[in-house]
Amino acid sequence: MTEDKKQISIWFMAGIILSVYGLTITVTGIYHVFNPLEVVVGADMHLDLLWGILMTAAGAIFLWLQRPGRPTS
Amino acid sequence: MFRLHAVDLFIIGFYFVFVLGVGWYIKHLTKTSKDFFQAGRRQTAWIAGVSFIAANMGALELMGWSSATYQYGMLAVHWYWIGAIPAILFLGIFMMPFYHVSRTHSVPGYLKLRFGEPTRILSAVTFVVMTLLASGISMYSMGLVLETFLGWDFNTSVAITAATVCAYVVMGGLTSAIFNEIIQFCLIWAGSMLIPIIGLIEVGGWNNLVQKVGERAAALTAPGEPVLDRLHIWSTMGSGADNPMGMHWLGIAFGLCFVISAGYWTGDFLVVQRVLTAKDLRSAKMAPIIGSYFKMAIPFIVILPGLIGFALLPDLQPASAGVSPSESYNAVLPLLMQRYFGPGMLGLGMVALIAGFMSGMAGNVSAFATVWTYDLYRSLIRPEASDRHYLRMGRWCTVLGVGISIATTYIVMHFSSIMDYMQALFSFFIAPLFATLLRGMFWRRTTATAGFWGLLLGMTTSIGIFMSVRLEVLDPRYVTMSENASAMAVNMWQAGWSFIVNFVVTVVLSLLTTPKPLAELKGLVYGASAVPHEGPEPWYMRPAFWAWVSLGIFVILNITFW
Repeated sequence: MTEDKKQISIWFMAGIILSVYGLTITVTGIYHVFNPLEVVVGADMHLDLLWGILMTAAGAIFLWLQRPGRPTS
Repeated sequence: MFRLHAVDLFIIGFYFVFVLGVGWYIKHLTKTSKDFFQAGRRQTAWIAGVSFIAANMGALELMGWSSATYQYGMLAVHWYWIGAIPAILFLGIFMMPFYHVSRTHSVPGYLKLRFGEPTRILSAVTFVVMTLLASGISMYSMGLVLETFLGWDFNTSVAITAATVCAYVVMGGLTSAIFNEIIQFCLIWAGSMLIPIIGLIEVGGWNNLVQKVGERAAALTAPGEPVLDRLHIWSTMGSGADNPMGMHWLGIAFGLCFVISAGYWTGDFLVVQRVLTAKDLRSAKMAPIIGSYFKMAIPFIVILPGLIGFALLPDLQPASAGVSPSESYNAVLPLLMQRYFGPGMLGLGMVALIAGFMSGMAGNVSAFATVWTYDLYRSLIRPEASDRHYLRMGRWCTVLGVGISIATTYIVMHFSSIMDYMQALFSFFIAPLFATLLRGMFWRRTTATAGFWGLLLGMTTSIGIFMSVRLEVLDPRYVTMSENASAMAVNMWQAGWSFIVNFVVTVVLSLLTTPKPLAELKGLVYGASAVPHEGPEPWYMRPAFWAWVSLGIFVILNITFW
């Protein structure tokens, strides 16, 4: 939330929720590769898997850059 | 109705646990009323800027403007570009120096410094009314979405979400609201961006979308009537008869850009409160400018899905008492989610909407708590209480605000068109407020008497036009200068008229009454003292540079879709 080093950054918290959701959707996407959905338009492109990986990566970047105790300039 | 799987329920459940956890963490950092009402006034430009946009980017906005795009075509993008960017940049460059340097805690607080107590009380009372009505609208919309698409009980949905919002705002105040707005901002982008991407793939790209929208527009037109263009934003506005909104360009340029948008972005405390939390003047100026870039990008996840829905979902109808919510224009975004999202992604899409509704509620309730405690309670009832007392009052009136919001939810149920009523609320209270702020901040001669009466008569004008049109006493053609004016066009023009009345009354009364001495206006008005400056820094760090870049992108976008 602020520049105060004692507090956890809001971006770190955003990283937590993006990572949790990203991993969840990635696992679901892998499941759908082997058990294809039939009722969803575009399911054959498996964009959910790709989206899950992207969200996990974005979450991991937030977590790394905003980790508590990180050195600041 | 959507069929949720275990993974979707996990995603929704995790969100509730997570925001309560964030509130619990922030509770330990909230020790003073400044922490609770002003988030400690130590936020960075990025946090203040993102929450500034997120406070306006609730689910009601997303669903409402997707629906408006389905109904009116790309004209809805005006609410994101000309109806936002000039006003946001104006706030950042010209108004934030005075808001920040005067150290005011709220917009009514600034009006107290500039015009005195009566104007502060008038603006605070009207803000409280508007905020609670808007909060009720958010809750109602969320209850309706969850009931319609998930089959969840309306009352239970409202009760659970209201209790969650109440808990985390009571624990952390504005900081909690800002944290959750930023989380909501991330979730909305994550949960919505795939819709236009898959939609464009399905229709075969932008050119095919243009063709399909044209075909659908032709199919909707009666034989012999001209087909109204839905894909250009200025070229069809020479006459109200040439576009689906029935709007003349003057209504957009004056009513929307100059009055409603400017009033909302510079005077609505709900959004201004976010940038007032900035830690220094440079951050306070940069925050709205950072927000302007995000604002320009939002049409990708709102307007584009509206157009895709228009091309692919032909059977939706205007919202009315006889139309099921799942078959109305308002359903376009959830229906596209259902079309494109499987288990997992569907949970993410739904959580994005729920988060959007909840943070909309939290934003309104936290702004209500600040204005009530600082501008009404401390000003009129208990001026000399301890800081601890005001902190406790803030927490209690958060609970009260949520309770009143729930009550207004059941009032809103009786209205048919939510977005029109939201715009009507803005035209009642925000448009005249902007005229008062403009005259107060940029004309030294404006007097306290003129500020108060201008604001009061401006509000009376707007409400008077609204009531007269509804009661069929006044023909909307005389208000809008258009033969086929929509309700949206009437709202734009009633805002414009209220602004004009306020402006004229303020100028005339200012010339007839005695202004404050110049010494009392220092730091409050242009020309009374040097304009506060953020200090020396390289050109690429200056807010003005980034404001010019933003303005350049805005111009290019308007020319591209002319």
